[in-house]
Amino acid sequence: MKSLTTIHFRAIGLAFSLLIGACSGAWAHKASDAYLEFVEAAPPAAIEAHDKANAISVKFSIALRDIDAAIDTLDANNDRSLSWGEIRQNLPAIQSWVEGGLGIDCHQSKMNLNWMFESLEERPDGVYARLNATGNCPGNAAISINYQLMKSIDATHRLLVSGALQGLPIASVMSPDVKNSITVREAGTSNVNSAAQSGWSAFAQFFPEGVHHIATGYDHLAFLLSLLLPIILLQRSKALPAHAPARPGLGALMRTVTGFTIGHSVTLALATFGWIGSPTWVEPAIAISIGVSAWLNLYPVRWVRSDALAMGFGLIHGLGFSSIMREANVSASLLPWALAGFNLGVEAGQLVGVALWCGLQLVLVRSKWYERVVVRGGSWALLLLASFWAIQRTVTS
Amino acid sequence: MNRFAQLSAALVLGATVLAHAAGRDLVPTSDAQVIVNLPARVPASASTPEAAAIAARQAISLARETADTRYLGRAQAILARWWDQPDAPTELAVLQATVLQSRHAFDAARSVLNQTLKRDANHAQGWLTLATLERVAGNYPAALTACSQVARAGAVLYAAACQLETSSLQGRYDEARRGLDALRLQTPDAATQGWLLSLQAESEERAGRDVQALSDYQTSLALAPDGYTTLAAADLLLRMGRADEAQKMLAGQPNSDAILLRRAHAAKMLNSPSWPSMAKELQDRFVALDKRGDNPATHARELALAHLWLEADGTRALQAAKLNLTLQKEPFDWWLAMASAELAGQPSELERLRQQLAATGLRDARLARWLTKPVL
Repeated sequence: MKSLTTIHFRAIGLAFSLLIGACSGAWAHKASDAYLEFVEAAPPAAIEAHDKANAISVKFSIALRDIDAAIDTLDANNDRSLSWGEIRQNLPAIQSWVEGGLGIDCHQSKMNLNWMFESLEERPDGVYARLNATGNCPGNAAISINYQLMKSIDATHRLLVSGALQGLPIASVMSPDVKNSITVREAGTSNVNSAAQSGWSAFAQFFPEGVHHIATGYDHLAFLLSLLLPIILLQRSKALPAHAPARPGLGALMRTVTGFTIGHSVTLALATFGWIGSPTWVEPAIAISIGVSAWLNLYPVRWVRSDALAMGFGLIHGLGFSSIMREANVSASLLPWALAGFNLGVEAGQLVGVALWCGLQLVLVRSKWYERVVVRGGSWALLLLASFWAIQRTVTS
Repeated sequence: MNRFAQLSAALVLGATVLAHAAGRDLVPTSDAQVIVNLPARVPASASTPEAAAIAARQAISLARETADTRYLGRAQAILARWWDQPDAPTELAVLQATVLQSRHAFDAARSVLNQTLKRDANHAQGWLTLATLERVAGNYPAALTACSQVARAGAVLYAAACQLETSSLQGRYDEARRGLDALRLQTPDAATQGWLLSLQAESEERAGRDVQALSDYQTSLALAPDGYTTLAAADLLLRMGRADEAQKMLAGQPNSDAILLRRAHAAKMLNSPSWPSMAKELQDRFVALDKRGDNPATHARELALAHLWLEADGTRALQAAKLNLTLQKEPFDWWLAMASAELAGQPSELERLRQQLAATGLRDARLARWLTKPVL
């Protein structure tokens, strides 16, 4: 049998130190990414509309660890401890490196972008340098990106392109080795590529999610029902007082549903974009909101308006919806589309629920026991259910 | 309802503008301020296969030490000329498989190794890596075959350890303990002894002997400090409810997703106010990974653990844990899926997992409470 060569032994030494760690997920850190964002800053009013369409403004962020691999002089004293002074002295080198490796073509010729260092920025995986540049490209010319930075240095490096051109979102992932050129706007049209399409597909994907969520979200429907129970769409008596509006309950119903929608849409959007969190008290608070609303049906408080109540508690329910969106991990540029789809799906499902209730009420409202059984009995039932949920959710949260 | 449509549209538009503000600006106060500590320099390219092997190994080690996957990309760039080439030197093909394996591309790694070892069967490391991949996939008979090839390629100690580890997964704990003990007595160097002890500790954990396992982990770490063993020991401490000791165990480790997750879990167990911010950071990292468009299965284990430990959301944990099982089937992955199914209150899923588990022949005391029927 052939004996192992030295290199084999070293390899085995390596193997045992790597093998045991390799499957642990101990390095589930993401690999190297850079970010290119098309910014649509509102230009000064003095600039004509024609120029607005021509101006291109971009920001580019890349990790210092990656710059270090490409620019040998970055860590000038080679102590592997990178100071601001060392970075500052290398800014011209960094700018020309980016200039050489990241090109934006207008009409198939490289635009004259003047890359300037803007700031250092902290991201979850380290410190990045951010540069910006502006250029001009006529509104009907093709725009494409060529990316070569980190080519042959890091095979898994990616450029994440985001932002918007002429109001249309752009989302793409580029790779210097595999996909190093993309067209973001086609010639002769103002069509911004791919993103609008996938924006709609994100919308279409999340609309049914929203419908499903409200259809199976009994607590949200229970809350809505508790608000709608006391609103009588049509008076039993045909002879309305002269000063009464033609359709007495409809306005109140619309205001209440509107209030709930505004409330939950606001917090859903805020939480989806990560500006606010979804604390653990949300689920018990949703149960309490049902209980409070049912209680107020039984013991009304004059100054509490149901539409205001709907809006206030709607804020809490929106946080409840948001877990779906946060879990969905939609890419940032498609998130607004996904959110719009999900939210409108929720509203559609909600409207179907309201319509069903209205139909049922029109049948039931003629009976003498409507107020006693449906409104008061229903409110007591909702109050009991809400208490049960509140306790259950406090114990398990 | 038009008002709503307008309001929603306005909200959505407003949000779009702000959604891209991802990084926080850092304004240095002086030239001397240290912005970042850089790891050792690795040559970016190599002209000969020998130099490429050395540089690629350095990059892989760096990825392991820093828990930063970008160095796996650098290793791939160093190997670029030989990457996916059918006539690549065996050594470099095996390194390609190591990079793929480290990136959790287990199927790709296996196919590279199968092709390479067909050409050149006399490569112990290649077989050893293949055995690991087969174990991760839950193919224990195939792993044993690969272990015997390690012996044929002349690496007797590694072949024996490979075989004993696989036997232990199949429930032959005492055989593994005796065998690993014997191997350790034959080994003079501390690093190898430490490694053998970490295998033994894992085997003891599967046998349900947690106290012995912890002591073996500690001895192993004293002989040869290692990130993977530290993580396994911390997991054991967390499972035993000793969160403060787990925290101490993790001190000084690179803040990888897996470590951050354990830190947050320990902090939550100790009711420390810091855990929500850790959970938030973890969430940010998951979002960043997703934007990149990588295979979501590669971080499903961490995602499932976050749902299970930090959010106590069984349904989502189960979803991620099932995705993770398509990628890897180590004892911990089964535990994760079954604990999630239990929390989610889904007995039918639990039953399905039980049947899949039985098919692999894995035995593990941590899974015993879900195995009402004896697995044969």
